[in-house]
Formats: sequence, C-alpha cells, structure tokens
Amino acid sequence: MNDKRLNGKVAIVTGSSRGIGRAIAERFATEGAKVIVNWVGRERDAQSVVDTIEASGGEALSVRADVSSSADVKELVRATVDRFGRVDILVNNAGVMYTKSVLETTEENWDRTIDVNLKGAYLCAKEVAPIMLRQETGKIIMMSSNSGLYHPSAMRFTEYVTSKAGLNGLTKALALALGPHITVNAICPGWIKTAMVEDTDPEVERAILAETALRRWGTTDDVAGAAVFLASKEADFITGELLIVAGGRGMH
Amino acid sequence: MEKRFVGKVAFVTGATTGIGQATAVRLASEGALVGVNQRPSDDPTETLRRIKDVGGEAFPVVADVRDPAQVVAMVQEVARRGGRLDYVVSNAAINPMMKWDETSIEDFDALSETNFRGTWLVCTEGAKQMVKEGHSGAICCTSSLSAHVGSPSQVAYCGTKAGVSMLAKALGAVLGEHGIRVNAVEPGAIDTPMSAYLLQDPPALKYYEDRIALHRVGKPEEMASVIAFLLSDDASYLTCTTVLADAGFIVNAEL
Repeated sequence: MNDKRLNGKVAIVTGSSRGIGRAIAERFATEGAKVIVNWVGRERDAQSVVDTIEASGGEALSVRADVSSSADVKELVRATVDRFGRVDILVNNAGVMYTKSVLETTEENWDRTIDVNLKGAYLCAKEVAPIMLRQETGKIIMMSSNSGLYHPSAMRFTEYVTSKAGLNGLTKALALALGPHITVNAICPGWIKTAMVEDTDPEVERAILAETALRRWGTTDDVAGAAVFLASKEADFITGELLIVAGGRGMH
Repeated sequence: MEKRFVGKVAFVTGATTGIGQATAVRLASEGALVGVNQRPSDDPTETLRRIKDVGGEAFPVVADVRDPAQVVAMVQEVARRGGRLDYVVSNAAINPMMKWDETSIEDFDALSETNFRGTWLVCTEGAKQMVKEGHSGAICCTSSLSAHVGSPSQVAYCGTKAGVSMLAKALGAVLGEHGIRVNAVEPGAIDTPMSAYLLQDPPALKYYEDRIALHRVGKPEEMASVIAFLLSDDASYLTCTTVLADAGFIVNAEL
C-alpha cells in the first residue's frame, strides 16, 4: 500500500512561485502529486520550486500563465495535459492585494484584483472542468480569505475583500454545477505570514495576534496541510464548503 | 497511509456505532490508543473487534455523558490508562423523531443533556485534563447539518446541534493559548443507525440523493477521515472552525 495521500495525481497550483502557492506545490509533491508550478512574473522563483521538488524525487513543470487571460489559461491546461495526461487537482491560488483603502485605490487596481482573484479562478475552473468530468474525478480548491466571509470580520482592502467574497460564491455555484464527480471547496485563511502582508503595521499586527486564539501568525505550511486534506480522498464527502484556516481569529 | 497518531491517547464518546465507531477505528488504525466510550447499556464489542482487526489498541470506558460524575471519571480513567490525553472526540448524541408540538419537557431535557450539555461537559473536562498535563491537544465535536437547517421532526435536536457548533468555536477561543484546538464536523446525510429511519424511507432517501450535489449519502468512515484531519497536525491552524461535510446539501437551493 502506498502511503502518500496524493499519489499519482496531477495538480495545477496557480501562483505557486512563492508564498502559500509554493508551500502547497511542494507539499503536494511530497504527497506524491505531479505539480504544475504556475507563475506570471517570477520565473526564477518558480524554477526554484521545480528544482526543490525534483531534488526530492518528485515531478514538476513550470508554466507561465496570467490566469486573467483565457488564452494563457488554455495554454496552462494544455501544457499540463501534454506533459502528464490529465488534471486531478486545481488550486486557484493566484491572487493580488492592494493594501490601500478605497479612497486611494484606482479603477486599474479594482480591475486587476477582480481579474486575477476572481475571473482567473473562474477561467481555470472552466478550463479544467471538462477534463475532470471526462475522468469522472477532480478536486478544485479556491484560495479565498476569511475576509470574504460574513464572519470573521473583513479588512478595508475593498477590492481584495470583494474578490474573495465573490470567490466564495463561485465555490458554491461550481460545487452545485460540477457534482457529483468534481468537488469544489475554498480555503479561507486568516493572517498568514507571506510577502503579501510583509508591510503590516506593527500595531495592527499586535491587534491581530491579540484576537487570534492560537496567538500566532499562520504559516504557509498551515495552509498547505488543509489543501492536502481537501485535495485527497479524505474529503470526498465535502463540497461547496468554505474551510476557515485562521487560528481562531476574530472569535472573541 | 502514514500513521499520524502514534503515541497519542484519545477517547471518543458514543463510539459503539456509526460515526463514533468509525472514528475510534480510524484513530486506532493511525496509532492512537483509544478509549471507546459507551453508555452502561451499550455493547463495545463490535468497535473493539474492528480496532483489533486494523491492528489498533483500545479499551472500553463507560460513561453516560448526561452524568457529570461519570464524565469526570471517564476522563481520569483514559488519562490513567493512556498515561496522558491528547484528543477528545465528543460525538455521543441522540436524535429521536418527534413533532414540535408533541415534544415533552422530558424529551427536550434528554436531548439537551445528551447532545448539548454532554458535549460541553466532555470537552471541558477533557480540556482541563490537557491543560493540567501541560501539553497541546485537539478536540473535535460531532455537530450536524442540522446546525444550519431545520427539520420538521427534529426541532429540539437542531437547536442542540447549533449549540454544539457554537460551543466548539467559543471553547476554541479560550483554549488557543493552551495550544488546544477545538473544531466541529457537521455531517450531512450519513448511513448510520441513527439515520436509518430516514435512509430506509425511499421517498426521503430520494430527496436527499437528488438534492445533494454529489448525489449520494455518506459513509461513517467519510466523517472519521474529516475528524482525523481536524485532530492531526495538518489542521495546525484550524481552531474555532466548523466543517460542513454534507456533500453539497445546503448549497443546493435549486430544488
């Protein structure tokens, strides 16, 4: 009996040159999956993820694609099928966040956020769904945010929060549309230590930790553990769910 | 698969049938020493046999979760036999069908004392033991889809399950500083003795199978795998979280 949870599975992880995406790509490979490391601006980082996976005896392929472009997404999926013959898991992880309030952001900020975070997830899901339906198996995971939920509380980064709330709706609608063979779920992380939040004000940081039950920041590995679960057969009876991975933030 | 609970000690309430039984077997199969809780009138033989079959270790521990003294004694017994306590699965519950206007005070109290107060007691006493031992741990409650949707013959039951989900969140908030995580699974339609009345009724079964996005009812083992995840290190940043495992029942508003 093989003891790896994702043995032989083929997984696309968008935006996996760094941060949460990188942790998921590397963990999936450890669990036996063949991984597509997608990137748009950080080729060297993506190659280093592929190198790390291959050095541990895994298989990975670096593919450039801007997920907000349907042409790029088609190429991403085509490259995956060309190399590995199938797609079992899609993690819609690529995302952007402008850390400004609504009075400071621009229309371009709004468009880019919605295009990458929301439309990108839609395009990728739409592209892999026919393949997964033919296979009669597939797992789609959205990297949402607990800021896109009614509770715990939101942040003031308007475009980002709106895109994540949209992603939660997309998750539920796709779960309904793509059953019974495909499950669609979202992970809603709380405050995770990545480059995306590296410029957090120390005072804000203290406030966040004070209202987080586990009294620590989340790590990218924390999120990767939840992603492995949702991608594995262990979660076969879960679809349309928004899994909060936030260390108990905002529960007081 | 890799064994995630080697050297750990757990107990599961209501472990003689259904989801509790499957969970006890799953935890033991991954290396945990498992206290198989039963009411005085229950028979743990089948659960213990299944655990033996997967090469696991377990022992029966008697307690009616309605009785505080029995719950305290159960926690002490598990910690004594295992040398420690790492995981609590609060799963024991009753689910009698009764119309809203035919539910007696006694009926309500039995539901409340078993499902709601029993969960509070089991989790609180388990957590006190972990804090006393001075190490981290994890607690998982079995709640229900019924924490979110009503059902004509389960009005009081639904209330207790909403209470269980909220207890998990509120307890998680205070236990985080001790490194103890508290979460709940909310199962949908699962093929267990508790749901037999429903799933052996063809029109009711058809309703569920049509509405559920995955078009099938679940197996107890599929809830055990969720509970095992929530207890494991893969869930290291999950606390105060409820996991709806209903295969897409609630999400379908199209019927």
